[in-house]
Amino acid sequence: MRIFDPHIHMSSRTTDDYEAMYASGVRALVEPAFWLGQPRTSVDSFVDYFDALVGWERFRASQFGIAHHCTIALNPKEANDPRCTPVLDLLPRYLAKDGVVAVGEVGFDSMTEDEEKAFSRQLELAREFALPAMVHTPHRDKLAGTRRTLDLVAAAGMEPGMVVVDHLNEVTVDVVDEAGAWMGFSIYPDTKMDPDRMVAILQRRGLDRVLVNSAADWGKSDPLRTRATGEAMLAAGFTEDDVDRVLWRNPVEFFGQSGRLLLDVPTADQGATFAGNSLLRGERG
Amino acid sequence: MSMSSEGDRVGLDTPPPPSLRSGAPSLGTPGRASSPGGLARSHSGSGGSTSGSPVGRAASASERVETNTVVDERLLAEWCAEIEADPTRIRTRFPAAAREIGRTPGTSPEPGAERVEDVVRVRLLLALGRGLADDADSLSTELHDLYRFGDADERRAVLLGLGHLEDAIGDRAVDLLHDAMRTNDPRLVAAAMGTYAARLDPAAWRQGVLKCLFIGVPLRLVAGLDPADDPADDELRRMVADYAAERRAAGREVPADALSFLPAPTQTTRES
Repeated sequence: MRIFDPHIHMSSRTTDDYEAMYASGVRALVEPAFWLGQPRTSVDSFVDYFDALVGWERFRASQFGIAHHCTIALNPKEANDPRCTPVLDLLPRYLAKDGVVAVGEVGFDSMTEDEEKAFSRQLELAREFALPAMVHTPHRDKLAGTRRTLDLVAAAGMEPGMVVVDHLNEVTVDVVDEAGAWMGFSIYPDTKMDPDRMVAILQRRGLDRVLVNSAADWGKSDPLRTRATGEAMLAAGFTEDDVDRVLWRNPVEFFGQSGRLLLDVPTADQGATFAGNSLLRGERG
Repeated sequence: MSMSSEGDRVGLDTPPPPSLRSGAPSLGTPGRASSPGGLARSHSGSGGSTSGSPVGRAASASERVETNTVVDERLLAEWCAEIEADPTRIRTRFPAAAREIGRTPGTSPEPGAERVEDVVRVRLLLALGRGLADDADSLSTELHDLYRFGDADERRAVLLGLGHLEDAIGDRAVDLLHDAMRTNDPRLVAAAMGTYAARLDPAAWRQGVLKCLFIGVPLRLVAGLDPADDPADDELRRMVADYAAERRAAGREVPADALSFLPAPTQTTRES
């Protein structure tokens, strides 16, 4: 089972996680820029964080045979802090880079005016740099936030196929589906979605435009939930090809629209374990 | 210690650089480079439907190696001319150079690997040097910004370029070497220990050599370092001997690179 985790915050994970992910079949991932679990208080903190996403973390992942990509953005939570918003002017430096495969996470947290302003500005940047957008949906007032998100995407003139609306559930999936955008699902140990509920959604509406992620970060979360979902799919009667489509080909198709995927990456420097085992040849069987 | 420059890897005024003559890829190869995300572009370009053609398996690794190492020499010349005329253009050209002009596939986690995009970016830096030939401070500022906002690949290229811009910038970019040597990315540390590292003060340079031993950067990548011809730097030899003693005390192997610094009798104790 080859896995592309389209949403995971590796800078808050350990090397044990990288090893376990590789052993589970993860060969590629996207790390979206987001909140750190505690507020940033200056633009410089963003710059250092972005540096990690395009530098150190990419290198760290490569040592474990995993191709690391990222998305870059001012997240919705910190869009409310005037100490952070000037980072918007620095984004173009990063949106020009290899391996930056989308603008994100953008979207809403508390549905404020400042959030909406930052969201719209960054949708403009996504169009300017011909990048997809990854949109976070709020924990609170989720359905209303999702609807407002889709309105803004339409107003920005963004192709729905260039947008993934993330952290969906049974209540929010259909409005996003109808809009033609990609649907992201975060599979968590307790909250958000679990593997069996994910399978039920796939059985109901099919595999098109679905991205399954672990969204693992500094909180209680599990980077192997993607694998667990693939196994739940097989147990429910989906084929291995179906699993490959959801866990690999779908994210490659979505982020491939950026023209910036670096999927030829891993020939990791870990001796026989990875040697010669490139991403593309390694997981065929 | 001999820290003399051992000759430019990339000629300042005679591109294509010699570093590519010995490598497989050639900057002289005609044709348009496919994107580094060649996968991605070939995917969208092949009308990949939502059924999701297995892009990951569409091309064999060897096919991609060939398509991706082709360098668009014409575009590179165009960008160099553009940067020479308007040096600020390097701010957007430098990050995009790998995917637009040419790139070696993969990440080459091992330090010192020859990579096409490094050579391409150094060529852009040379153009920057020509464009700011009479303004060393501005040249230094551009280099610092390219490094500050660069990803790991861009930073490596800046470090590799410093040795070729040395006459113009003097000591102005030594701080970038210090920054690179604080990282734990062997590729950056290796790039920082090139010919420009001769401008480090001796203590920092020795720390750089020792860091190379620690993080597995082969000492052959350190410019101007030849243990066999280097009886003078007793301090470096002492540091390496202490390092070897610490490894042995912990029951760990002493890297061959470290042993090359030490007197022969010490080497025989390696097996103990």
